[in-house]
Amino acid sequence: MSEFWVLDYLVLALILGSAVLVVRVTNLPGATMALSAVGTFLAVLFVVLGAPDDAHSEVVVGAIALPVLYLAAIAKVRAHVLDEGELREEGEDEGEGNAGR
Amino acid sequence: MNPDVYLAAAVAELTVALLLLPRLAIGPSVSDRVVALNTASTQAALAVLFYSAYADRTIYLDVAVWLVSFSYLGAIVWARFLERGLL
Repeated sequence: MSEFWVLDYLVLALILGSAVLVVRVTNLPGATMALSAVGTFLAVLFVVLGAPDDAHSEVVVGAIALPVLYLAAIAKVRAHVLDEGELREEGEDEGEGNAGR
Repeated sequence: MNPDVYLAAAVAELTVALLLLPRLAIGPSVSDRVVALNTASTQAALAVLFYSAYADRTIYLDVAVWLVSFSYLGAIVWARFLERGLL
């Protein structure tokens, strides 16, 4: 336990930076990637604090399952807008797709 | 070997991950963000490996295995999402 506090504060800084990025990044897939980074570094924090089982659960849930659910939500919203065309008015031409792709 | 060397290696890996965060913030394209995220996941897994060598506990190696395998799976998921937006 000589220089243990360096690692601890470094992982905490990584988690805080990624969490700030989640709310500051305007691009929607970029914010989802920052959420995945939060889960990954939180798993590293669990390892550093001595709980490997919680780190297993955090890797599976926080780094993969939750961003994939957010991605599925984003994809379904985009597909719904793209296919149904409810946001397009009557006289508007078909030339403008979504600007996110 | 001195365990402080392993701790210094883990701190170095996480410092590289900290330097990767601005690229995750201001990537001009989404591909830059994908590369930054996968590199950060790899650095986190290497930091867990070196911390396992520092703490002399082999139970932490399983977490590194999970991190690497799910980083690969996440790369596949991101590639599928970017190619066809339907996931």
